[in-house]
Amino acid sequence: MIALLLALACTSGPPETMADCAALGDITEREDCRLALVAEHLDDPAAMRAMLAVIPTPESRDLLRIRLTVQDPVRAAPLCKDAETAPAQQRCSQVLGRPHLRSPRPE
Amino acid sequence: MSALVLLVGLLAGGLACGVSDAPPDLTLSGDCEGPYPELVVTCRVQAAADAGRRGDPGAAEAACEQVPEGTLWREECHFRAGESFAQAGALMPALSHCRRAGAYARNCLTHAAWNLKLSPTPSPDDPGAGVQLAALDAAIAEQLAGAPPSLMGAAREELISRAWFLVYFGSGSADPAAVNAAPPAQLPYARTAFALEAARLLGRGSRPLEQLPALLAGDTPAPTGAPLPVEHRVGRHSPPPIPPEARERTMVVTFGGSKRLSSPDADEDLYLAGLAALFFLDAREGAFLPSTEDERVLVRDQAIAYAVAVAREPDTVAEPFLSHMDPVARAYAREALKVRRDQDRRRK
Repeated sequence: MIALLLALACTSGPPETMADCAALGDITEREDCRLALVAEHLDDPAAMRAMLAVIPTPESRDLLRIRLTVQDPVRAAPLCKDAETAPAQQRCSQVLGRPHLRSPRPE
Repeated sequence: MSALVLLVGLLAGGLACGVSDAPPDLTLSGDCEGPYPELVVTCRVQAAADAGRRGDPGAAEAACEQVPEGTLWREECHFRAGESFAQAGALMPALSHCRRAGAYARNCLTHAAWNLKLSPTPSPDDPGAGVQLAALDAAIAEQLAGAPPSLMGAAREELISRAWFLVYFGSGSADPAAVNAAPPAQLPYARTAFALEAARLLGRGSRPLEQLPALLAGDTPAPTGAPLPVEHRVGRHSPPPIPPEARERTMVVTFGGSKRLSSPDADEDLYLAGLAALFFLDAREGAFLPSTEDERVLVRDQAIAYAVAVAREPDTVAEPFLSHMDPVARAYAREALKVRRDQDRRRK
């Protein structure tokens, strides 16, 4: 019985919600999972902020803000303005202080 | 019993899967290694900028090489490194990075020009300035060899323009020795810088446009005065727009990205340089209005553009020019007025 529950706890389908991501044991997998889910909403800042709000630690929220901003500064840079930790604020300044990164690239 | 088994099972499952809320580490060690590529990339870009400030080309090169090629961040890495080297006074490494900054190369070169330092900075009474700045131009061309011609041209123009600005503006002397020794291709830039310092030293109430030819020829004593502190060597540089009807006319870079019309006739070009100098020095429309009736069309049109651009009441100043018989003159007034209206609207 215990073996069955162990198996059930560790095997599930692909994560579909932030709660699914939070259940992942490996910290990098968990953060990658969150990134993948939130990145689907790059055109919807309110949705992204709502998803960030359910992440329990400021470091994880900030990591996600930085990763999204680096991947897509044009659409995600506003998230960086909400950075909560000093290291994240320092990294975000690398984008927020560089207006050309927040504009579509010249050809 | 079954409830106890369930509880133990769930707890064990949680522990076995290692679920925890341990936060990720947002700091990276000096080598920028870490599990999140986005943190790694920004760390390397910062490392390249820091290396530029230290004047360490090897470290900057190594940092940018590790940023994936063909990405925005690789270009940003070269942009940041180029800016940092320029701020540190290392022009050649700055150009080397700027030329690889892709979509940002042009901005990088402009920033490098703003931060240009000459070593040594020739003084206006030094006829050797021409030789030194010709050598600088050759070094820039060599460093940018293979760059797209438009980039190469813009870089040389902005840097040489800035170099002449450094020779004259704020120096406290409008001695014509340096400008008179300028290589022919650099004369328009040298004239602008000379006119700028001459107009500054002659002061308000003077008539620099009339005085410049005699000053350049050495027929009247070179004006001198107190040097300007470096941090005050700034001025108005946001230029009035160039109308589409005049895009084919020859323009030369002045300061901070601005441009002025240029003429192959030396006297006319000196006059145009004088107008650009007055614009930079914050002159009002009264300084330009007499030249709007000049028979030389380049002088007339440049004066119209400046007069409208700086007017207290731009609509009033532009009004007679909007019905000028020459459509190009009308276009200069129209475009300058459009920009002024936009600016005034934004201010409100």
